[in-house]
Amino acid sequence: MGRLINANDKVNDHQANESCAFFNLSPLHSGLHFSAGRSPIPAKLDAARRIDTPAGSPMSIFEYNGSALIAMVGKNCFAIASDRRLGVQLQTIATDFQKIYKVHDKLFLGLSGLATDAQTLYQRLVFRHKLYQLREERDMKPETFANLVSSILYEKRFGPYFCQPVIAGLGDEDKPFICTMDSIGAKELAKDFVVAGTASESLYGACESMFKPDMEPEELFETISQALLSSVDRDCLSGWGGHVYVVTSTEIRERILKGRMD
Amino acid sequence: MECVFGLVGDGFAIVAADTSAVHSILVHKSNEDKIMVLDSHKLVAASGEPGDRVQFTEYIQKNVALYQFRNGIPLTTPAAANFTRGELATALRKNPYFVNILMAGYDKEIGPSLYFIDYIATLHKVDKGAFGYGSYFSLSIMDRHYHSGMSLEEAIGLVDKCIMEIRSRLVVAPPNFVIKIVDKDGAREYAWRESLKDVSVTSA
Amino acid sequence: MTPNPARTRACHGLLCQQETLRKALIAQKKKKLLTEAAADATSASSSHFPFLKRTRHWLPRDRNPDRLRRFRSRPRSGSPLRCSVMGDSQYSFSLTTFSPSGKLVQIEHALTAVGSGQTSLGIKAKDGVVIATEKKLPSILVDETSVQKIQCLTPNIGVVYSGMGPDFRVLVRKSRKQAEQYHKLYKEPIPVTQLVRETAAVMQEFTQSGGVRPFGVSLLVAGFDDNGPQLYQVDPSGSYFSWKASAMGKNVSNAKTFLEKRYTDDMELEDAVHTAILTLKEGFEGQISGKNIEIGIIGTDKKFRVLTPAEIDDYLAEVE
Repeated sequence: MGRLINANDKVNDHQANESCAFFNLSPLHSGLHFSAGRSPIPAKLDAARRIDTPAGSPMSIFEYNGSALIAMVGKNCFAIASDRRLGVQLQTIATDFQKIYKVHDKLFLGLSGLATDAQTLYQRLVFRHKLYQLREERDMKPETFANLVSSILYEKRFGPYFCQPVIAGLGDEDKPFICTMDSIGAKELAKDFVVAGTASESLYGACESMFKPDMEPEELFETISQALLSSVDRDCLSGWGGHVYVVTSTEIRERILKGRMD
Repeated sequence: MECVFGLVGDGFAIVAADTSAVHSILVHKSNEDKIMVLDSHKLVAASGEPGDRVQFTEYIQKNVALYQFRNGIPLTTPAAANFTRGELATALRKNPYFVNILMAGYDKEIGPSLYFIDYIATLHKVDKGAFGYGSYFSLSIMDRHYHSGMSLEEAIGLVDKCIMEIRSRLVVAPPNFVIKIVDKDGAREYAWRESLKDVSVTSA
Repeated sequence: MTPNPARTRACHGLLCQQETLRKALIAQKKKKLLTEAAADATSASSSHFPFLKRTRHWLPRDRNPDRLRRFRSRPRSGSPLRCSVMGDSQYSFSLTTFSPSGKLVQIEHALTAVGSGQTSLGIKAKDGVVIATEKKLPSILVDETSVQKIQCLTPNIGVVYSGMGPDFRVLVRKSRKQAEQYHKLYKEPIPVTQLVRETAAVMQEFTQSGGVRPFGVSLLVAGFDDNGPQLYQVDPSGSYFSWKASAMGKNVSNAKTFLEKRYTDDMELEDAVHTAILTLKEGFEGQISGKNIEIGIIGTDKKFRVLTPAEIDDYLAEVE
């Protein structure tokens, strides 16, 4: 995230004001409005992304629904996992919310952040990918798809989708590829694992201590599941079980996890 | 304050809403119907800004009707819910509607379903859902007593439990509620739960 | 949600304005009909553009009904005035229209232009592609190094044409832009098929759009990507084909017959270059040299390259 912090230095009042106009989603008489404050994820357009909670502490719009996402690389395989909670701030709406989507058999997309933007973004990406498939008669490579996501996010530079995507796929010769990016499309490539969402801090810690290179699918599943479950227990906004995909060149193994269901 | 909630039972979906039209500290009306019969087999229970609520639900209703006119088949409940989400999502970054929606419907192939759509256009299919201040109570009550495949009597009993809890625990509790149901026979009003009748002017 | 009063007012104002405008126009039309018999010489002289004489220049543009009527983009359907409003489309119909026999003669003329252009040809070998063309200049005084008929579209795609040079440059510019846009979006070089399709789409558009003519060129596109070596021909109509070997321009039929005789499936790039030169030589008037032909090749290195006159001379020496 070093890149993001550097970028934050450049934010000036003009940009902040500009983004205010774009993010003015709510003259909403519910006591919610976006205001300035501390932000964890894309620090660039930070002002005007905050929601005043009833408790009075400002909350980032990225934390409105709550989420936890990880992708990990194994030996000729990868795993991607998410929590299952859909909340509205501290209230839990559902515990079967989908945050990971299959783009094609060897490419998965996880979207953390604001759920509505995740849904919109997913619909747009599926649309673009289907057009690509029809036009070029082939599936997109993970790298190519990551660039598409990046472009689509940057298109909305001054009124972004409040999402942090995680992309995981198998490329040429089934070489695993994982990456994440901020809400305006700055890619962050990694060889081992990537994390996103409200539980990202604890996820970093868990992954950092549990990850080993070149794990086989079964061990990879165990590791990613443990990392996810132990991390969401330290985050109020994510949890309620998990959803794990382990993908090899021949099969997609999907599992639903139960964790602390409270 | 506003209380809208609903649940899916065995072969039907039920939604209930308070019927108070409130502005600031004033109650204008206590028989305002906030549940629209969208088409023959769909219900839309909406809370939020009154103007937006009426405009938006009518807009959705007319467009769903237009689709049926043009194509000769009705939209399914998931299709109508996704359409509604799409409209809210496009409006969100222009001039958002402040409406939260619970859409209940019955389709031959799918059976009963309930969709949660909030004002920022988050769409999710749920078994039980709620909006407004009442949600703090109704969601808890439903979490405790809801189970899949509830009979109509059980479901109505649960709705009544929710209403009782709201009335006894919510400081700004509305007096009256309307309950609507949708099943294979269509969408219709089921009952009112009134603790305050509007009195006519002459007898006042 | 607070309604924006300014916007509401503006919308209301606009509606009122449109309504007033419509009434004014109807009144005007009625008056015109009534006085038609007594129409004087002034109005007769500009009968096709009745509003020109009537424009009230002293009114501000945005509030002048005469002008607004002209700028209104779409005539209100069913309006009695529809005919008098000049739509954008009225004078911008396509020049490429069907003849009664179902032909698009403009496209046929374009093909004639191609057919009378200088010969170009292309051969797909198993490990690369070669494209070649004559480069006959109108005078010996022209500096032949300044004329480049073979162009790169991307590092791995080259193109040559027969027909009109200036039209070719337009297409090259558009294709390069398309390739860059693709690269910018996906950070991946554009596949040959995609670029050919996009280029063909542009050429098709120019057979159907208003106020334009078809391109007077056929293209031979040579490229090498993940799908191996590829050779495409794109025609003015926008149709395109993949070829093992093809020729176009003057002497097409001779050149094609020659290629049919010489082509083999297991040809290597070097053989293909020789065959290309021999084919050009067949229909060449005068002495062939490195200065009056151009050759572009792409091999397994996936780098398209135009041969220098010196390199061509070496090949010519081998051929003889």
